[in-house]
Amino acid sequence: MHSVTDTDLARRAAEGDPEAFGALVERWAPAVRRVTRAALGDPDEADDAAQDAFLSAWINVGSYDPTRPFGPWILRIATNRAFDRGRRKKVRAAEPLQEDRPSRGPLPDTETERVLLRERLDVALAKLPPRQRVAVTMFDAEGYSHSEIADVLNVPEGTVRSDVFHARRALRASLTMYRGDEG
Amino acid sequence: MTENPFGHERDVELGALLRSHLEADRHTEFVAQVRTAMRADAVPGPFEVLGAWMRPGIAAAALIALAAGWWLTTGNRAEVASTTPVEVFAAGGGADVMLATALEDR
Repeated sequence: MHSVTDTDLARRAAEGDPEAFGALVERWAPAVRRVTRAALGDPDEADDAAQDAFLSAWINVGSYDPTRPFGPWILRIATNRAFDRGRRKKVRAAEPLQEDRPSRGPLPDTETERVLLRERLDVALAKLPPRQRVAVTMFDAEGYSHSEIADVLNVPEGTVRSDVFHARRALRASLTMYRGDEG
Repeated sequence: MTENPFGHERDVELGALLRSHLEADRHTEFVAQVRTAMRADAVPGPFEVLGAWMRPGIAAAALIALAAGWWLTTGNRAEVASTTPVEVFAAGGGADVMLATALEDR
């Protein structure tokens, strides 16, 4: 738990304190970078979007409502930046791996297993629409509620539930297939 | 991993997988980049400095131009109008004096 709250830091940042905003960046960079990665796939593009988001937030921190949590506010800016960047540059989803590739045989070590799992997740995530990737990441990985995600993505809550459902189903199917390869 | 995709509960295992998969490295470097960009954003560039100087300069030049225009049209004309002897005579009411003097002589 941080001794200084996000709200305090945001208030100081709104008064022009760059150190206070820097502390917010340190605090929120991991989550923002994960979400922009979920939205864009490409790590470099994702970091550019995350940086854009923080700079935009720094410029507009005066418009942040301190009665509301900071996380959804910065994540909303970040997802908007990421989706804009994705639309502009038409980021191509990572090329899916062949589904019917031959089994690699027994896994030599846990590192190989980890790599395989990463590949499977890459493939499965790349097949999902960006909004579904962000929705499932924010729900299962970041711990936000459906209503908070709806606010971030500016869609109805039912749409978020549907996105999370479809994304989960696809990801589970892919990972189950991976585990099937093992057996 | 929870099998029910309709579940309202978080899927802890899937969440951990996603979190680990999407985790970025070199956070310190990233934060330093953002801080540098923030400073660059706060310090005005050379064109912004020139622009800032230019704006009052343009305003001053506009004022000078307006003043010069007014002087050339109105102020200057008034002075020019009273430079010849005839005009000075007319402007000072000389015609009325001449007429009054003539009438008195009668």
